[in-house]
Amino acid sequence: MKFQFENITQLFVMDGHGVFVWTAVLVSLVVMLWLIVKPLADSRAALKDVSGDITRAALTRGDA
Amino acid sequence: MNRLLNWSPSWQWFHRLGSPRWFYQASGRWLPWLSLLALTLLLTGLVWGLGFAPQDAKQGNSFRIIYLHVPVSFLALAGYYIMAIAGAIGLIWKMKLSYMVMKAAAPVGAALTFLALFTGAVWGKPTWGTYWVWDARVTSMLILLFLYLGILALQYAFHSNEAGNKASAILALVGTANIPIIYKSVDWWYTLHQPATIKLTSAPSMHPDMFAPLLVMIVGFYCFYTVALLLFTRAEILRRERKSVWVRELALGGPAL
Repeated sequence: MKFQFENITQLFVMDGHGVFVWTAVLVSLVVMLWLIVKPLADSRAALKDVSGDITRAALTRGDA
Repeated sequence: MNRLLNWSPSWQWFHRLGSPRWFYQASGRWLPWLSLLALTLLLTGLVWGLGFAPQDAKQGNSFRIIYLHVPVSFLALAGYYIMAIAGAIGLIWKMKLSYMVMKAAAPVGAALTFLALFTGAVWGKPTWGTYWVWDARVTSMLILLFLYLGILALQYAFHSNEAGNKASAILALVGTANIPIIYKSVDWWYTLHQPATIKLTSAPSMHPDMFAPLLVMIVGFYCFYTVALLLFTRAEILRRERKSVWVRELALGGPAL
């Protein structure tokens, strides 16, 4: 197994195909990152909502 | 009711799996390992495929997009089956968790279908000379994207969760008719899209040096899909179960699990 390009610059240029290959890579990485970050942020927001509700309920009851 | 549930020990796993709390707890234990596995495989496969796999004789370096395009398309299709099966289980056994998995599968599937179309388009330009063709494979994949988006939208079109779940599950099941059409489109119609590179029934039409990194990427994407599906399901569990004691304890940072 050997590295197919003479240097790192060639890896990015890929004989003129680099712009297509690296666009595909970049967009894929962004979408994949969104698939991880979005549900984590949603979970966090849901838990924050619940704890906020509990605190508010306690305050209105006057036992906080 | 309790006696009925405990009636047969062989069915206990099924009922336990149906418990959102158990699922949340268990998936929390699986996630670190699965994420590590997915990250390792995807990094290895990507570096191998982009830098070390030999060039394609006809397509040159543009063929390297295959290392994203094929695994992403695989999961876009497999994810639809997972969503439809989860919907069917929800309809038949009225399992709450199953509907949550179905709902979680929709955004993940839609994102992967979008990626399949996008990576296909940027591969099409240097290979076919155009970003887009209305051929059978590409068009049926676009329909798949609309099905995913339709199921996402349908969830919000109903006031009650129950009705939204049922309608989505039925649409998901009807939409499965599209999947064999997508698979077979390259054989049934004259199309620009090349025939399948990998088939379960025969050896891949690809040199082993090119195929090995593709296999790593496919396994990596299966792991990644599982991680994303679990994360979306967990978010949905917290949203739907927000009134339950264990979620309230979890929100306060207490010993919920």
